[in-house]
Amino acid sequence: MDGTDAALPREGEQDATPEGRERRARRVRRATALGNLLPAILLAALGLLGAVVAWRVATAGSAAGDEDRAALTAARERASATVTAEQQIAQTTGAWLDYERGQRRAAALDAAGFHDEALQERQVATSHWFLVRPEYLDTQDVYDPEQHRAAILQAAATGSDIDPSAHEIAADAEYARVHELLIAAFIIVLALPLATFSEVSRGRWRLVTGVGGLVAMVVGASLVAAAWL
Amino acid sequence: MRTRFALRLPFAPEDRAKAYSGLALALLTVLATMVAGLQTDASSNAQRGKRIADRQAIEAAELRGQVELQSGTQYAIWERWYEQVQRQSASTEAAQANPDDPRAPVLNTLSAADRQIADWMTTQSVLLQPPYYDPTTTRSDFTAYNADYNVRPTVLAELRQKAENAVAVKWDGRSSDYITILTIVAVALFFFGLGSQLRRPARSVLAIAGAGLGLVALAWAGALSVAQLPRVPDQAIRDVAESTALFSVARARPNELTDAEKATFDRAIATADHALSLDGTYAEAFEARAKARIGYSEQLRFLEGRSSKADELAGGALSDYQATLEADDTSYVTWANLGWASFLQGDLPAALSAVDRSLELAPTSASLWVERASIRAIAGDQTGAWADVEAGLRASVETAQDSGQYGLAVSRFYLVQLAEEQPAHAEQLLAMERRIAEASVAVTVHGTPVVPADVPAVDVPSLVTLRIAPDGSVRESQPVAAGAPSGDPDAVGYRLRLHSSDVRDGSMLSARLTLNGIEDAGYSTDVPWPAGKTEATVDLLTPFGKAHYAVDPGAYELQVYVEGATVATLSWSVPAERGPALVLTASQVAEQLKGLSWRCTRATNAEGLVDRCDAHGRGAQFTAVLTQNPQTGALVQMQFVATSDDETPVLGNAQGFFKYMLEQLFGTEQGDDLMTWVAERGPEFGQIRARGTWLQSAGEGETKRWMTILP
Repeated sequence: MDGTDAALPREGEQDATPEGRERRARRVRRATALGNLLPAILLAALGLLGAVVAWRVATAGSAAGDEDRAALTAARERASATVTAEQQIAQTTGAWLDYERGQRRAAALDAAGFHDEALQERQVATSHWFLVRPEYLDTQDVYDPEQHRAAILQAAATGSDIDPSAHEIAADAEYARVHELLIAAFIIVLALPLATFSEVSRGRWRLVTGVGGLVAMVVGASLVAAAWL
Repeated sequence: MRTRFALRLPFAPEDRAKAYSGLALALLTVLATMVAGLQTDASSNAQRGKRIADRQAIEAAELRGQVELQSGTQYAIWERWYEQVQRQSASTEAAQANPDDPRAPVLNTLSAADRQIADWMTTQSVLLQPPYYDPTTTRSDFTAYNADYNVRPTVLAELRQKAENAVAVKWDGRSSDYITILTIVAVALFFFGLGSQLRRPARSVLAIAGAGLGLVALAWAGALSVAQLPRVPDQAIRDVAESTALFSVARARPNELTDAEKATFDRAIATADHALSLDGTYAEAFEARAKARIGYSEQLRFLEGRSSKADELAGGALSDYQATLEADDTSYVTWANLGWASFLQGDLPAALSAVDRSLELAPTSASLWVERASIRAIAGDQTGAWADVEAGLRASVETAQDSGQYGLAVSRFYLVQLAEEQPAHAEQLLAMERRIAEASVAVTVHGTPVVPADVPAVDVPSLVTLRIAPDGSVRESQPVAAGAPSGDPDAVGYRLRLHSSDVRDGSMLSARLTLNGIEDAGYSTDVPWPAGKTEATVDLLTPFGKAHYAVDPGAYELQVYVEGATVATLSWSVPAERGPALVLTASQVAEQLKGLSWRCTRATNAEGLVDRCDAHGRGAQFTAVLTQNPQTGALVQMQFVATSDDETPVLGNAQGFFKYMLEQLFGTEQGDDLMTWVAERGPEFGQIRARGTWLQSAGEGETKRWMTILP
């Protein structure tokens, strides 16, 4: 079984001249050579493409892992910043309440004409002021913990990465790429039995299965390219 | 022609075997590639799920820290609000006590300001707003706040993390399954590859084996790839968090069980039921329902007595804990609770078996040892029970985690409850409780549970209530009789006198007070026996008592220890209704004065029904004006006036008169401290809270004094 049967003249075919028979023989030899080559090339290409897909899957998986770790590091940083912010808010809230109570007592004493006592209350109130962050008092001089919290988180963000979501999006994109590459690999690998059949068969079987394998490989390669980009 | 083409495979007969082998190898390679792809996909999903679970774990820890700090802030605001209320009250009382004092206007101003500040502060914390604050009682419901702001959100976050982690673990498991399938495919490939090089019949055998393995691998991989991974519905997770929060509310006071708490237990169980209706295999839902059932069961049983409902709940908890274990939640807590549920059900062997397993997993938990000791004691294994008690005491000392002192205190509560329920074993259970109590004291004072075998003889000559006198000093008030109610309305603490000639100098004398079965650490006192003395005095005063707040009502038991060994035990009760302290009504006072030949008249005016009684003697005029509500008989006020006939100072006569009246009215002989206060005030107006009433004193110069008692 050398695969030349498919190129032999069929029953009833005639070529009158020796040149014609020679041309026909050359065509048959070329076709035979191509027919022998196609399955081998297809199998080799499948091997190469499979290796490329496997490499890309591995690099995408690795990239996803890197982004996962970065996301968790950012989440830890954010947790640390959040707890720090709450601690500072708790401290500021206490100080501001104590300051405000002293001020209100002083205001009441002033209004009643007890200015000396009011001054004493104000002086006591100042002992709490050093822990109050005036930049987070609103126009009514009321402490705004939300603003304080946002500012602390913003400050933390300038010093370290505290946003895990960007890394998670990147990681998920890599996971999606892996998934798409695997679908492409499933299609590509379907070319393998076709190419093998083509390799071991002859005549039309060889041609049909070889072309089928080629089509599967091209479709798979296109999907790989689409997933790659 | 087409038919012939379709039936004939294009292989030369001599190459057919190799062609088939080649094709089979190709198909197996396709299968291997697909399985490898599925394995990679499962592994990716596991990795992604683990990342999500890890992030949720970080966020859960962040949330826990955040809500703890936020709760701390809320409590700090509440504390400052309470301080404002106290400041306002103090300013008001100080101003009223000395209305003519130059500082009185300042105090009045501060009182008004502090009231306004207190009102303003109610806007600063949810703890001071409905539904957590009840303005009619001025009380905040800290338990409900804790359930809403701490328990529910943190449990929810932790449960979601657990559920996500479970999914990741399942993906990991699936990935491992695919690897197993890949191994099978590899063996099939090996069989086919080897077979292609051999002759029949080996070739056929290997080909059949390879094909069979390939088909097995294909079927397994196909089944795995189409199977859905189970995921707990989010509503079920929310239900479990809600059930846990409700349980925390219902279980807030283990020694009380109100109708509202019963209803909350029922809701906790029903909510866990709903979670299980959504996912019948959800282990956390079984555990949440089991906790609610066992908590409800033991409170019903130990506070209201064993009942069919308590047994039914314990049985339900038992099945739930078994389901929890079947769902692979095999923590020592689950085993311990399973043991407790079995015990409440009366299945002692099963209870012992479960607690044994729990102790294997957590041998350093003191309360677990005591749990097994209780079960062994009731099972009749006295030696084993004592061994467990000692092991528990060693564990409480040797481990850094203090399941030690707290766990043992709770265990003691249950030992006493069990003793009441199991009279046949009560002696040993109470002995075990006493041993744990003594060891706890010894651990506190000496760091070791060892208690001396020789107990010195100590007498308790007296136990009396303590009051805070008007000058701020601590004064003895009424004797407390063992086993009897102590109704002193102004009692803020207790004074214990001990006598012994056997106690060595410097030996540590300890007192522990339990209120309704739970030790109140605020009263715990450890003092060395005074050197060279045969008597020692111990004052039991909490910060509340020192601030003149009366003791709480309830059942009290006082244990006295020397070097950790029990030397005395006293118990008494304090009724809820103790005041005002007047033992006579206005009418009775009038009748008593008439009996002493006072002239009394009765009239009704705008203030109420007024009895006015007069007498004369010792160079002074004495008057009592007793006003009561004409409809209810409730006291409006009593005023006692002493006026000198001439310019002679009336204070001496007034003090005698006032003291006599106070002792009649309060039924005590403790009027001296108040008379000291009256003398110190002089003619200036003063007011104090005494004996559950308001007491006012004032005068005009040195010749007239009056004292008024208001409810």
